[in-house]
Amino acid sequence: MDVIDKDVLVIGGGNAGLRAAIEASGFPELSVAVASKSMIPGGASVMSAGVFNVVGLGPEPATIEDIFNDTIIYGDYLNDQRMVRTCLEEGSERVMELERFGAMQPRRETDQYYFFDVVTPGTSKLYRFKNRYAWQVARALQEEAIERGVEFYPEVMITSVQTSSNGATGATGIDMKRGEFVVFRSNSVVIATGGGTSLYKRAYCDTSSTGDGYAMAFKVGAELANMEFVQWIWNTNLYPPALEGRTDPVTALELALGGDLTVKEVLRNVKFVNVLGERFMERYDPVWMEMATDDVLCVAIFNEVRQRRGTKKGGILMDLTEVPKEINYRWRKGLDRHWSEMLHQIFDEEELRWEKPLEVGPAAIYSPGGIKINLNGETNIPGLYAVGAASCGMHGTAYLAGNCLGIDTLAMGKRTGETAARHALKKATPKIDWNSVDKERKRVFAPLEREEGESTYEIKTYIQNLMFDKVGIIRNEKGLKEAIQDFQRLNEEVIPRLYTCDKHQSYNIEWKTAIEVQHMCLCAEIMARSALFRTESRGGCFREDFPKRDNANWCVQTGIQLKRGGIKIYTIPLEFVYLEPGDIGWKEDWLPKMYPEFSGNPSVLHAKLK
Amino acid sequence: MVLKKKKKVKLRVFRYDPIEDLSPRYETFDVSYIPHMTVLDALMYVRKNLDSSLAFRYSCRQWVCGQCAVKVNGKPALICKTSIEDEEITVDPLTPFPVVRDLVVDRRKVQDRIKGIKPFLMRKNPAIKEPEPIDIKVADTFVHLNQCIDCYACVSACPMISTKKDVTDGFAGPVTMIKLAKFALDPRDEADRASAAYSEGAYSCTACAKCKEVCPWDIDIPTLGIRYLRQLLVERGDVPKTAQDALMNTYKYGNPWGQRKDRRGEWAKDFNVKNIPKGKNADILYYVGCTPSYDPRIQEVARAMVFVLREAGVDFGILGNEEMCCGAPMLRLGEKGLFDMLVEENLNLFEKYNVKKVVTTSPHSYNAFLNDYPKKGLRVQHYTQLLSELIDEGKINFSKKVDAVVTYHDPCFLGRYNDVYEPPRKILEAIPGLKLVEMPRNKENSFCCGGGGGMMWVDELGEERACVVRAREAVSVEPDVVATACPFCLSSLEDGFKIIDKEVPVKDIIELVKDAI
Repeated sequence: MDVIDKDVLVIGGGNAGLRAAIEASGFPELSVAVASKSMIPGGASVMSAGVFNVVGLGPEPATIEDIFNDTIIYGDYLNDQRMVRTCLEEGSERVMELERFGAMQPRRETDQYYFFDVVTPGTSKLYRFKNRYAWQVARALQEEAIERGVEFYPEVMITSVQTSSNGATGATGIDMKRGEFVVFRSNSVVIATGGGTSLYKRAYCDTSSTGDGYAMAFKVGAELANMEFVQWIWNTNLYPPALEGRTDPVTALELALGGDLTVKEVLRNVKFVNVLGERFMERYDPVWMEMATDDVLCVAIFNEVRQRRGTKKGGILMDLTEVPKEINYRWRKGLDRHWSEMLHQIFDEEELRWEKPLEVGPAAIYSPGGIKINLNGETNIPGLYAVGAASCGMHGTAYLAGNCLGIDTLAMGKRTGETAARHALKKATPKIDWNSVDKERKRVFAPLEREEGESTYEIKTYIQNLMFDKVGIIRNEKGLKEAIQDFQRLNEEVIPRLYTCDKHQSYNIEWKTAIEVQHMCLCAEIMARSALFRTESRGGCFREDFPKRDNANWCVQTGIQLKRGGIKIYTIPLEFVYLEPGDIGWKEDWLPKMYPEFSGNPSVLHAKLK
Repeated sequence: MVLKKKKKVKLRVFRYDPIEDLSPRYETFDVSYIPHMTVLDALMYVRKNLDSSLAFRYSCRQWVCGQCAVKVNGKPALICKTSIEDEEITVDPLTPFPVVRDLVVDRRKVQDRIKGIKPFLMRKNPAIKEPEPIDIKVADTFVHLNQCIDCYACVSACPMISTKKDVTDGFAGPVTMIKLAKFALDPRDEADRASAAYSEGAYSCTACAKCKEVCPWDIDIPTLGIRYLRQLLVERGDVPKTAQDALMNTYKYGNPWGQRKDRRGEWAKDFNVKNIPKGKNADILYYVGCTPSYDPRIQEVARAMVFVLREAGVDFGILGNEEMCCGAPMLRLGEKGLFDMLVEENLNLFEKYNVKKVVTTSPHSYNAFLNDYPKKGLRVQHYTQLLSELIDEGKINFSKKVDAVVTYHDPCFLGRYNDVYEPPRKILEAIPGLKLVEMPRNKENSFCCGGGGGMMWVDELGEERACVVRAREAVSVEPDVVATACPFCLSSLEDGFKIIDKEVPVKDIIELVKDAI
């Protein structure tokens, strides 16, 4: 068993983790490591479209108020307002800093960055990096981390956080390549493992966002918050299966049209059609139709699919035939090559010319909830920190496009890295509880050693489908209770009997999946319980039995924690430092009319559709 | 699309666990075809339904994480980007990386090489103001180079690496070069990137452009990466001695071989070829090139050309002693100044003698005139293109049979650079009695002979040379003759056969045509 002594251990190699590691390595006395189950840089950070909200830059600079207000509207008042404000104040500095790290932003003038306006509900100017720039941000952070001597452990999957009564003592994991158990002895452990979108069968993010950080932190008693919220995107591809949910043609539209023509204007001429040939938005939002807000579109599409009026692959048809040809031309010409090739990979030429409807469906894009942190990235456990999508505080119910990169990963990354480093400075070498490590080792190796039991891949698919159906876009008490019962059963009876057919130790993906599935199942239960607890509808948590927003009772975060005696779920009151709920524009309350389930034979319809 | 729904795809996958298995093996899986299917779909299907122990990496599914590069039908590619178009597909791990398991390779050695070049911005003085003034074009090029996603497909495709036993043997590879070029280009970076480029093997590139072809992001590694670095090295005079001599010779004598200028036309002295500078008019200028003018072996090619063109009744002439080097190798060696000078001189010559159409022996000259020279309305053809037209017009009468099994080696500057794959094959197939067989790697997948990019004048690093690997590959299809259409390929391959001690004649296509007339 390898024991690796590092003062600060960062779990996760995305932007948030790397930024924290960079900051921690600024203290020369400390040794800093980044461990990731994927490559470094990796995760969802490299996939981002590269949108930054920046204060005070550009031809018409946005003010802090602009972005702050939009953030609160998007987050539906569940944000940690102090955190948003502080990070916005520091955000521009963090973006400028990227050039010091080695990034180079595309320029409009020699001394002016390239700006790009994206449509937002308010007034903020989004500052977008051209050319899939987000990848290059991750690259710059990686390079800076190498320069500062941060040690990388790619493909080392951390499986548990170790704590003692004094706080974090380290972590355990498997070195995937050799299949060996490793122990990190660290005073500060930063969880930057990203979100839990892969808990759903269709996710827009990378396939490795399986909520590992949530589960690991929860198990050692960290408080999670807002776990019921999931952000959805309504227009992703459904085919081929491996690439399901990967590309969203409407975002591509936004990027290609370059801001002067809004997507909503294009959507004026778009028709959403179900398999019955109905323009179903008439039922959900007769005023705004397809131009309704994204939440409404997600619910409408999901409901059509749920009630068997969707296509076989679980989506609807987006009919763009009446959109002026000129826009299609601009779309096809305006796309950069990457987008264009990605679309060609999944759609036919006819579909791309908008002569045939595009089949699209909703996918999970972000987990706004997570490990509850304060402004310094601290959790309720000393020495345990969280940052990025693994944490909760910044976004409320949903992120505002451009906030994830700039203020969440970079600004909070720096703050968290600094706190973690200062904590480590004060501590002597931590004492690992070897009994607990041994127990963890047994747990991790059990699926590999078991000769028979439950199939890893089957359980994974089962969880993903169940989450999508019952803890997905539309939730209700009955479904949630069933889901909780199911997940409880899985956690108690099935998970302990997981086994892998593949018994090799080196690079055993089935084994890795078995460990992920354990984390996923725990997360799934947490999310379902939180969703059941919140008896209102807000953001990405739509309860059809409580379809209204309930400001009087529910302008609070949902906390969930493992305490002696089981899972405790409760509300966490929020401090409204700058804006009281309702101070600025609420998103209009919207009550969808639900229709009874379609009772005919869907296969007849599918045949008719062809 | 050839495949229809419900068809089966045969997926041949490399399997190996170095700890448990004695040797690697291939396993075949049948997977049902679905529209828009990618290799990732097929592999995921296998892992989920047929064999859960199949190891491969993937994460993002949209070509940005760089983890899933493998060899699909021998060609390095991202599995999430590669659509299935054939009924049979072979998936191998990237070579020459050590295999961790199945399709997963250990990339540490390349990562260490990259780490060795200090892959981070090195500057002492911080910017005075931010955003720092940087030229818009420089920033755009930087962003283009910085698109590299570390998939290492280029490393696996590079003929200067894939021939070696190990990634650490010699050339550090296109990926390291592209990173060095990025920092060298960066006006903020103060480190000496050019020296690093020299020691990492900037003079090991054959400019075959295979790296650019397999790059999922189409990064122009040969031009913006390696040629740029070589230009910096030439400016400082850091060029291998042998290449330095070639450059100096070209400067002095108009050819890299250091031969006398007044003997350039000597090869043709018994043939009474029209000499355009001596007042003879001709429809076509036959641009011979340096190597065919001076190298005794390649002179045969030029003479064969004269014979064939005459037989076909083509009205052509040469520039004789006035001909100058086309400059293609000089440009690839990084001597842009010399190249510009040669461009000017050559264009002046063409203008002076009213040349409207040029036919070249070498694909290197052809590519230079066509793509590197300023567009002046000059019609440029490689001789294989002209010949294939002549065959179509029935102007070439074959009277003899060439009873031989022939395999054709695609020159990079003809094939990959200019998509000329069919004309050479058409000519060979038109020769009576000749049987054309293809090498395992042909056309788009062809493997460089190791002689391009100025490598004729530079010693190759590492143990096994590319020409040897290609010669062995040629031997594997048991040909009587190996044909090619490039003077450099011809020389390199002859070297290759000499080294492996096999007596397989290497001939230019034109020589085979001559034999058949």
